[in-house]
Amino acid sequence: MKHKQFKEWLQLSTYNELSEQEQALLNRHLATCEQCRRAFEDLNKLHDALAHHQSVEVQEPLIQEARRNLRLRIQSGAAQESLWNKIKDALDEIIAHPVQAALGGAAMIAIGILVGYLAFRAPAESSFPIQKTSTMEAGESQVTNIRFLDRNPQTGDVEFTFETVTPVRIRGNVNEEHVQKVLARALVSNQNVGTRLRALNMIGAQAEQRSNRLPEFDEEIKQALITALLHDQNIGVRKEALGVLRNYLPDPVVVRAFLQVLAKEKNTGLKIAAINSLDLSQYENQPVSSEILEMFRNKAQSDENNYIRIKAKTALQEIQ
Amino acid sequence: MAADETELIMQAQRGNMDAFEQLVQRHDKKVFTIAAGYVHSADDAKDIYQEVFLRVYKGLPKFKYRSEFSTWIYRITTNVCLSHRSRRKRNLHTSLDQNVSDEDGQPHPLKDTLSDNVSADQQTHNAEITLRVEQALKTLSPRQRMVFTMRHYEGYKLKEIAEMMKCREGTVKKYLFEATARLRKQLKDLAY
Repeated sequence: MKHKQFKEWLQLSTYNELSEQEQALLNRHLATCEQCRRAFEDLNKLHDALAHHQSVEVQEPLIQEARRNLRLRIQSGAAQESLWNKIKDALDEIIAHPVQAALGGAAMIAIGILVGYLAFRAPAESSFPIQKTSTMEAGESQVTNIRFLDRNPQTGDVEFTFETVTPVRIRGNVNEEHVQKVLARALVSNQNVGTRLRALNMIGAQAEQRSNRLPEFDEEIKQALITALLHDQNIGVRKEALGVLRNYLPDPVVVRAFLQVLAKEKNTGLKIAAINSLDLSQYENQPVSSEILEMFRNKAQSDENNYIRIKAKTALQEIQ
Repeated sequence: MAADETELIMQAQRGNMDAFEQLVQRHDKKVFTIAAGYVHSADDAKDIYQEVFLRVYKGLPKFKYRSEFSTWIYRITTNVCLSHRSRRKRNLHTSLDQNVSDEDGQPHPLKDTLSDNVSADQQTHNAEITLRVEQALKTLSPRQRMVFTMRHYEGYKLKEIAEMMKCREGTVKKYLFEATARLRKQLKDLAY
């Protein structure tokens, strides 16, 4: 048997965890092995030191207090549930069950229509020649997070808050305004990276096809893209957003966003893509903004990446 | 499981609060001891106690007698201990001026309760060792610490600990050996 096994048995033996046979084997081994005898002495010393660590004494007043608090917590938890049951009972007495079901269904439909209207209401007519062909279907609203604020048992008045989630299905063209709005929202608020990337791809595919000035409703898209470029946690999303935003250059807001990428972005590849996109040659016959000049001068002198320094220097030379 | 305990469980499952409280009182001291041994803080142990018995209360309707009731409770206790994060700063230094209660519940300063036979130097030395041991125990992983305190301080058998932690006895032994090795390393320069 190996030493490691005996050393483990030493530990188990201090806790009387060995069988009689194992203990006898260990004792025979200790009689002949100086190393294990020393290990056993060290172990006993360790146990002496560990004896200084006293457990928290479980005193009766502590236990009584804990029992009282437990009782109170369970009772208050039971009281909240019974309040809901009492409200249900009161409603059952006042209104017949089928009528309740009908009223409940009507309320849900009304909520669903309201949510759909608020989320997807059409703005003023746009001159952009896109035919509206999409259809929208709202599913059944779901009520969640009900919180009871007040009730009056005498009058039956109740006050509570709740949240509703209404699933909506849209079928239409990616150029349509409300489709674009949903994509923009998906880009900034959806937690799934795959969904954000898919939204970006759809937006990007359409942006590339347009050669004219972009219509007004794309402002929301542009802002969503800039938010994704500057703040999305995922580098893939940020890169895609930059790629799509190139189509919006030389829009001043987009230029400013690209300058922010140069100033603050940690990923070198993205910074290179940004500086490559900022084509200063378009400013040959007009003054370049001081903001751009300052950034390029700064990058030419002190960026840690060699390519960016050279690129900035070259760009400055070209416009001078 | 005693027949009367089975009866109490069935009544508690039907919503009888008195029966539930009796079940609590049969096991709560042990729960508190396990918790206190693990976190070494009365406040944290109270938090764990509450959490354990709230889970017992909510889970009682689903208890199907597949194990002993006590094993089930202590299993919940170890799980809650392992996932517990202390909400309070723990005072690792015991002030000699803090009060402790005597048998009649009367408060007395700790320093008055110390033995006159132990010199002040020895008391300081002992306090330093206590602090070092406490710090060394904190370096253990949650599972190592759980196994070690249950075996070394609370006296549970390794087989019992394995049942509570729902793992094999070999795994529990592994945690015990790792914990001992780590403590030995942390305290090797200590003059016992």
